[in-house]
Parts: sequence; C-alpha cells; structure tokens
Amino acid sequence: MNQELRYALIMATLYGMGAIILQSLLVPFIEISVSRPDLVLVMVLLLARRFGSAPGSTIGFVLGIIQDAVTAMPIGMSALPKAIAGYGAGKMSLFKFEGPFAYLWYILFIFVHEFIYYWLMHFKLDAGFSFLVYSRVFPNTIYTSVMLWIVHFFTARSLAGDA
Amino acid sequence: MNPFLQFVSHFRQALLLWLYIVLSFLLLLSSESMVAEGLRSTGLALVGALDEVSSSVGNYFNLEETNRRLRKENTRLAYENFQLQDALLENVRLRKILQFSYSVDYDLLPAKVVGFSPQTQVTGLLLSSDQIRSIKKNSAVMTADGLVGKVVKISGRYAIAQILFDPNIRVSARVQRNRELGLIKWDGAKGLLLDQVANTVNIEVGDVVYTSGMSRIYPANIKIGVVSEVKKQENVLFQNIRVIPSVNFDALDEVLIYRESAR
Repeated sequence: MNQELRYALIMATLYGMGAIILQSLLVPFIEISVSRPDLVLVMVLLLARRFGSAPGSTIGFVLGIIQDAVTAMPIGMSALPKAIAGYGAGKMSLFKFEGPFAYLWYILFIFVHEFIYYWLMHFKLDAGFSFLVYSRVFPNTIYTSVMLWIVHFFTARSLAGDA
Repeated sequence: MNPFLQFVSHFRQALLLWLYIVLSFLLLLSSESMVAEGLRSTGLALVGALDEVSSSVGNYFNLEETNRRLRKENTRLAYENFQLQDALLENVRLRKILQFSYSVDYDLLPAKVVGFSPQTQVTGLLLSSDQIRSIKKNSAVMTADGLVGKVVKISGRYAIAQILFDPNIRVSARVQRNRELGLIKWDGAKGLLLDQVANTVNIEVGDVVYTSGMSRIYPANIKIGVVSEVKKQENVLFQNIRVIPSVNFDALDEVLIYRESAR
C-alpha cells in the first residue's frame, strides 16, 4: 500500500467517521424547518477532491453504507448517490478548479446527490417527487453548500494536496 | 498485456463506480421492498420509453410506405368527397326541377346523362333511366334552365336525346316580350338562330325566347335562350337573330324527359 493510499485511508476514516458522528449528533440541532445539511456528503466531496475519483467513489460508497446503517434507512440509499458524487468530485479535481468556480461544481454534485437520494426516497413516501424536489432537494442543497464552505475553511490545510 | 486487463486498467475508475452503483441497488432491493417495487416500476417505464423510441425509429424508415398509403387514402377520400359534393348539387338541381314540375302540369321523368350519342348522325346525349320505357319517341328533354332537345331513340333503359346543337333540329319558339313566333335552329357553333322572324318585327338583344307550344313535341313556355344579336339586312325577308341557349350543354348531368301521361 503506497503512502498516498494509506493517507487517504486514514483521512477517510478520521474525517468520515467524524462526519457520521456529527451527522447523527449535531445536525438534528441545526436543522432549519425540515432542511438539514449532509456533513457526510461534505466530507466525501472534500476527500474525493483531494484523492481522486476512485478513492472518492469508494469513500462515498462506504460512508454511505455506514450512514444508512446508523440512520435505519434502506441500505444503499445513501451509498448510491454518495458514490456518484464522490466520483464526480474526484474527476473534477483533475481540472484544478479554484475559488467560486470550484464551489459551483460542489453545489452541482450536492444537488445531484440530493436529487438521486430523494428520487429513491419518494418510493417510500406518499409525497410526490416534484414536491420533494422543491421542499427538500433545493433547501438541502443550499444548506449543505453552506456547510461545505465552512468545513472546507477548517479542513483546507489538512486536505491540501497535489490532486 | 491482456486486452481485458488493459480495458479494466483503462476504465478502472468508471468500472469501480458502476460496481458501487450495482452493489447499492442490490442492497436496496434486498433491504427495502417498497424501493424495490418503485425501481421495478421505473425500470418498466424506462424500458417502455426506450421501446417506444426504437419503434418510432423503425416507423421513420417505414414513412415512405406510410406516406404512399396515406396519399392513396387521401385520393380516395377526396374522390368520395367530390362524389358527395356532386350528390349535393344533384340534389339541389333535382329539387329545383321538381319545384318546376309542380308549377306546370307535366309529368317529368328524371334521367341521367351517361354519355354522348353513339349515333354519328345525331348530335345528342345518351340518357339512362329505369323508367325510360314509359316515355315515347320525340318526347321533349329539358332541365330547370331550359330546353335541351328531344328523344329520338329508345333502347332498353337508355335513350338518345337530340340536342339543340344538332343541325337537323327545329323548335317552334316565341319571343316572350312581344309573343312573336320563330323557329330555333343551330347556328353552326355554340349558339342558336331564331329564324323565320320578319324584318318588320322588333326584336331586341336580351329578349327571352321560349317554346311556343305550337308543336306536338315541345310543350309551351320552356325557356330556350336569350337573344344576343339582331341583324336586319335589306333585301332579306327574315332577320338574323342569334340566341344564347339557356342550357349549358357542356355541363349536363341530369335531365327531365317530358311524359305525356298525366299525373
């Protein structure tokens, strides 16, 4: 196992598990109406940007499985969109976008994640998908984007790299 | 390197993502029946949409054949429409004629114009009717517009009508305005001549000419035409009066044959 991969594993474990714990314990307190940020997704995107698409999708998948397990959601419901978002963010790292433009890409992947997640979710709910899009997907995208900006501010140095 | 391994190495990141997607779906399907049911429904909708698209692509290549079939159908319907319009006009004309028959005490037999006279010595029309046996030779033939001619030959359910453009036809006529008598005959072109009208008689352009009734063939007061030209020549006994026939002989579809039997 090379050093970069080992570093990825350590960072994913530390930040990923930390995000899951915070998601379970902290996020219910910062919920606005029914809108809540997804800190696990934030970490998946930041880690994927640091380590690339293959580690990004793997981190997204694994953290998603764990998140589903601890939130009693159907297993795979979070893993699927997080794997896709992690892959996309990893690919985006190749273009080395910086500043506001990079955030636009993040917002796009957050939206894709929420869109897929609530599309899967609407099979379980009585609510229509279009209702979920404007009542859940858009607010969650905005809230998670804000949290990403905050988390990125604090983790920028530790997640800085060549990728 | 093995091509398969080369392929996997080249696309390993995308393949890894697909592996995670498939695994996620499998986990979802095994853990949540409602999600699985929803995904099945979505899959069915997707397959249906794809099938529709593929069939529409197939239909695109069959457009030429479809177009040909539709053109044929369009022609057929246009023809039927024409026939219906024709039937409507026929209906209007027959109503007009019947109204005419009520005003005069004639028994008129409707007959269809099915062609021109097969006999070269007669300029006329070939008529068809189921009751044509009930008429007699020399019965007058007319329309609502006016006099057409007379029947010269009957055979089966067909008859030949000699029209006013036949060189041998003669019709006793009367000018409506002054009751002057004359003799109508063909002018050799697309008109008629009112003959046997003396030079001293005042005939004007626009005078209407009717059958006089002084004949065993043509009943009185059937319109023949309108005077279009009057020429008086010195040293000639009769005027040269041209008459435009009131019947358009080029557009005859139905005629009525005068029948002697009273209603």
